Amino acid sequence: MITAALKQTRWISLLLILSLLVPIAAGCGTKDIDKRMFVIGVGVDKSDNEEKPYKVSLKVPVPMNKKSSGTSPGFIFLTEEAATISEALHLLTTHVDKNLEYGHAKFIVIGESILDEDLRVVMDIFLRRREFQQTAWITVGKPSAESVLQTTPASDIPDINILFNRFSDIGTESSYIVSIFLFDFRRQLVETGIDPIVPVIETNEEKDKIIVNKAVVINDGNKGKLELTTEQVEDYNIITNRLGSVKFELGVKSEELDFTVYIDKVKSKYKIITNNNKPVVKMNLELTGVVEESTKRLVQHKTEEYSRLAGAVVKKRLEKFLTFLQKNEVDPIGFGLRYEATRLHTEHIEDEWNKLYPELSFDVTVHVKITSLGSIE
Amino acid sequence: MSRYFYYLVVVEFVGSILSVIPSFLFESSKKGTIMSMLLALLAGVAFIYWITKFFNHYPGRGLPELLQQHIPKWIAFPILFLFSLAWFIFGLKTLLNYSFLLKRFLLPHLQINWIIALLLLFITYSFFMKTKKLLYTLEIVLFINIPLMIYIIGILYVNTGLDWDYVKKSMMYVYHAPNLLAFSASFLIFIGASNLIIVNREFKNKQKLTTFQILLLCVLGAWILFTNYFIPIGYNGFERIQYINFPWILGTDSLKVALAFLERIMFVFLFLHISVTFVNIIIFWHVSLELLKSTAKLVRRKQKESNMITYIFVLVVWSISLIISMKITESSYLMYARSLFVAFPPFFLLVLIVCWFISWRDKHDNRSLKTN
Repeated sequence: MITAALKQTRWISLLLILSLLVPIAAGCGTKDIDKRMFVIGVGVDKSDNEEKPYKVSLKVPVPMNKKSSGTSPGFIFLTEEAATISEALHLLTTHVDKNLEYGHAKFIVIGESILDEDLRVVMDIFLRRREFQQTAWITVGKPSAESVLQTTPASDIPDINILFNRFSDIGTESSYIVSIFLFDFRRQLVETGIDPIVPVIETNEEKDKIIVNKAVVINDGNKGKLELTTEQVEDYNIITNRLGSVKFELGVKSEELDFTVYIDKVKSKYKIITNNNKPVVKMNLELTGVVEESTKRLVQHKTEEYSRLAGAVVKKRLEKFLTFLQKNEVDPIGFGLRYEATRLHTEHIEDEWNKLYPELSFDVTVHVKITSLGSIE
Repeated sequence: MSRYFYYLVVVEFVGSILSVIPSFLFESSKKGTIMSMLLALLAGVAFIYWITKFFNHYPGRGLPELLQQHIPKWIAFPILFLFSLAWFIFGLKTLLNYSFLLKRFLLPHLQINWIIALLLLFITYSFFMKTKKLLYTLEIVLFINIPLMIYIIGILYVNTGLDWDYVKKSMMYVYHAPNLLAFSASFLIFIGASNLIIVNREFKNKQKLTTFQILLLCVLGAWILFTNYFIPIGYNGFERIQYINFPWILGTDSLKVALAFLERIMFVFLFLHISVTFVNIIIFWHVSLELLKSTAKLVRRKQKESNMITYIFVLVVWSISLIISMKITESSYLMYARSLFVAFPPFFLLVLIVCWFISWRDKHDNRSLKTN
């Protein structure tokens, strides 16, 4: 009898708990995946309208039946001008019949025209709103963010993949591409000792081609921007080697012969020395690679000489690159940050550095190790 | 020490990561947080050492029993009541912090009072649990969560997104004088051992805290403090980090991992943290409830078993949590938490003083017994 009563109370309490759970079910998002659209790229441009300075464009994939529409998924583009980015995004929800989700936004494309504005203001929404991934890639769109997002390549590759593969090192592995995540961009933007470097995505007038091999250094304090050429991007990649996977072709030209070394391992270190009367950045690079191409026969016992020749080329290149950055008063490598990271903080450390940077000289030591001359001599 | 003792300490360590503690540390990041953390590490380990040493003297007995035996009732009553209130507040602040996180990142469309009601539903169940069962729950939850959390923190350490230059830069501020708020915030990581005031009832065997164990706790505490403060700096940069409301969330969101179908690991981390915090709240409120029960026992002569106090406690918890959840916003929560945090270290000093007083009375009583 007692056990039966106990069982009964148990059942009743279970039912009670379940009934309490009922109103909570209303909290479950009733929007299923077919009622949502996943934005893949967000572009921000400056419009001509002064009252509505922001022109926001979105790239949204539309899943389609494979049989009827070929291999590539379709995309729709949404564009709207508004006074703020969030307002534009809000307006754009009225352009489609589904809920726009930003959790999968992999690209934030900043139009070239908006680079002159204070990017901290432009980027604010992407940091403040919880949906945006901190690992979205930041890029600069040339001639505009809108045109980059609208590009559909002539080949039947799903077009957003041509962007993914480049930056993620999954497809293209190139030393001409820099990539920067949103969180990295933010921290470099607000930090005084380092300036963010952002890849430039270029597209042609027909909007069927995308090329990424340039970059822009954005100067802190809104002093402007500096465009880097393809070779300078490579120099930057060699020095920072952020992903530890920089591989590049190094062309060596000397009086007797020309040859190309394929470098597949880069180690770089640098130190800022201010003890002596002349402040200097001592940079040490160790490169390892194999010879890929040559105009003349290469001989085994001269490998060291070839290494020396290659080293001299890199040294000259990098020193030129570093002085170029110095002259333009930008610091994408983060010398200023390193300076502050190795000296006890004082109130004037920033000014000290600002005074010091134009006077710095660069001392680059490069050791190239050629491990093989290739299959033929 | 019994392994359950470590669980109590570790749950607090782990729970600190997504709480407001890092935000308070960053608030004074240019004014001597590092010094405060070092001081708090010393103070925290000393606190753990003293409180466990005291309770190891009295195996199987909690603070209420000891108070009853050695201290007049009219002093014991307010002390117990104050402690019960304090533990209630610990639980409440954790609950609020935790529901704000849930609201912001997991359930943006649900009202905050609904979130709290949902959580309280399950927390209420724990009020009817025995201390021993609670410790078992704690063990299971930690066993499931800690390995994954350590894995994620490990990834955070080795990921290329972590730039040590920022960390080093923040270390260059080491010589600034310590800051009270940062000290209090980092001291709070070490309060897990103070749950012994009730949990010691379950530790019936003679326990001993060896030097090795203290060192272990010291290293673990230092590591957690280091991780708490420097990992977000490595990801979010040093400049202006004090303006980020959830530095750890942004930090874990800066990871791109290729873990099965997962790419954004932030939500996994949030889930893991949430289950750890959940047991944390349960423990705080359990201690609070037990203290309240003992307070009631002091007043009533008859030692009659009844659940009356528990029901009252449930009512109080529900009404206070719901009322506060309707009034409070994220910013006002931070404001209250700030003043509360500063009050915590003196409070734990009071706990130690009470303990010291009991042991002094104990010795005194023994001596007078012998002379009689």
